[in-house]
Amino acid sequence: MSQIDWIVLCLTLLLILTYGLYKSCTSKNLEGYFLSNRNMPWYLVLLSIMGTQASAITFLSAPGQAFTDGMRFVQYYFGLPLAMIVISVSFVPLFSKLKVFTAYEFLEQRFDLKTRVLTSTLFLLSRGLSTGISIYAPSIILSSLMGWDIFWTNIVMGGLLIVYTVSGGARAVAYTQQLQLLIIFGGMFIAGYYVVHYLPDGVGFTEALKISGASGKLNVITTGITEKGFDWKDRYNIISGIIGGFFLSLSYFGTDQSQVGRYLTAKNNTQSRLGLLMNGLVKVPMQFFILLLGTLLFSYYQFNKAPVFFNGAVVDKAMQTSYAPALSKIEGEYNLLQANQQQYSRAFVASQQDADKLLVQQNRKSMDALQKEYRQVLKQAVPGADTNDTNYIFLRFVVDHLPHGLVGLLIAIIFLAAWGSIAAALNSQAACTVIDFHIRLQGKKHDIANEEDCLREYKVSKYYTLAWGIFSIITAELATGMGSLIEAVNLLGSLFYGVILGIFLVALYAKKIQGNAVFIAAIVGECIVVLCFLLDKWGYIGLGFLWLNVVGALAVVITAWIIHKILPASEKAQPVPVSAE
Amino acid sequence: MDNQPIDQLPQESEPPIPLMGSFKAWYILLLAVLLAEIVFFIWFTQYFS
Repeated sequence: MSQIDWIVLCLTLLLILTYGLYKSCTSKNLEGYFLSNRNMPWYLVLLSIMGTQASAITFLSAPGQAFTDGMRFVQYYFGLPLAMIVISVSFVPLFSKLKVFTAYEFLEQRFDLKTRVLTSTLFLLSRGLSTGISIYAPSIILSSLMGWDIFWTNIVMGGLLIVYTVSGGARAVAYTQQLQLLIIFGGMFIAGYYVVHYLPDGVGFTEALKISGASGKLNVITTGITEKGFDWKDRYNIISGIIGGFFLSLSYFGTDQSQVGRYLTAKNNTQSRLGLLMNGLVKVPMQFFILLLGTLLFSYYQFNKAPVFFNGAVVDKAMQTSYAPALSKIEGEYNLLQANQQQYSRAFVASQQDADKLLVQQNRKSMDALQKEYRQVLKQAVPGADTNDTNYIFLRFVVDHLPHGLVGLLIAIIFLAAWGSIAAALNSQAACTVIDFHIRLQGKKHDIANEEDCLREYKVSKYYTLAWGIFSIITAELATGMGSLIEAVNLLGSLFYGVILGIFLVALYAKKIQGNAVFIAAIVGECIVVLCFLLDKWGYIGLGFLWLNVVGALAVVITAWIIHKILPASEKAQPVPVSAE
Repeated sequence: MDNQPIDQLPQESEPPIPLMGSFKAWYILLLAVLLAEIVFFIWFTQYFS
């Protein structure tokens, strides 16, 4: 990285840090610290929701995902707009009416304390771990590009964002996310422009898409249906995207405090709902364009020399071993095929004939086979190394080809995206710990009139935010070698999200079912989800991770209903009426 | 939090719904846009494959 890049990177990060601290002034009580005094307009809620969901992983992995697997990943978001409608109808009015700090407060009113504590614990467990991965994601860039030690990189990365998150709470989080998203979208647009700009003469945007399409990268819609019927193991297709994606989004936006905490900051119920619905409108197109960037990058590398493996640090290590000759041999063969690919691609662009398209496709298959062989040798040469280079593809292009200054900006964008989601997560984790555990288990009532109490709770909240930040950094240190990070995070969420959603669905729609039944059902449901996950991992069944959300939610609802029917009438408490309207 | 039945809590007065007038219109818009996106993506996939 050049000096200009370093200046741009440091200035951008400093700008966010300063802006975060500048916006830290809020009333020194829980309402101010966790909910920004409930005074945000819908557009800030929208940007905060988007900034929380779109982590560095989104911008790191998504273009690489499109590069390797095509654009079908976008189907994962098809259930999101449907979930936004359901949340807007059922969840938001209830949370708004109850004036809760956390989504789990509602569960105590509806069921009992143990159900609230269990659900909040599941949230803290899953969010705590995934926040660690979100810190690790940008850290691998630095460690790989600069040769820095990953251990210290994680510490520096996590430490900087903690400064303004601890200081300013939800208000600082929301305002920094607004600025972060503006810089991120600007930077990604410029990167996309340069990818197209660097294409050879005679190859424009449409031709680039045709090259990607010929290699199967523009497979936006896939059905997952094979000769043997529906492939349950297929991760991204329109069916799993709509059904599995709906359940995941419903759980993430309706019951995950990192998102609930964002729209609870809104001025009123209407502003919360509007922020969510706008998110439902913009999310699919946004993800489409990020993935499109990956396919354009793929086209770029059909006309230009590409590395066989995009993580240079692993290749350098492997070249120090006895496997270097084997790797060099594969590289030589790959370079020859690449030269052919450039020739075939130009011919296809010029002629648009099926015969030339077939040559492009066949040659690409040979290149993919060589890449696979190369990865296998890398695995033998550097045991334990991550041989999935999906996360490195986009950044390798940035570092190798973008002009000075822009490299620094693009790397800053990865930091900012990470900070946006991590800051919201830390804020929500602290909110749950303080509201659902610290204050609740002390048996005290939150009294906004008592200034001394408010100040004490405010200070305690800051300490918990700091503690969760440190916990996340420790998790990040343990996250090395988890493959494609975007999938790792989603997979982790899917182990818990379905069960949490099931509890909320029973709370909202099965009004006769009470605490004991839903509590046992939640434990049974979690066991079923983990069992399904393990059976899939061991190869006994084939089940894509998106389906775990459906399994978890349905397992809780069905089990709770069965237990409710079995339980003697004396053990069923008086039903509590719940109405959102 | 008081253990008051949830449906007996006072309801906030709703301000007017911006841009579309009602939330029902918003829901229809979201569904229509999703459908249009899927149709466009099907065309996109077929056209470029």
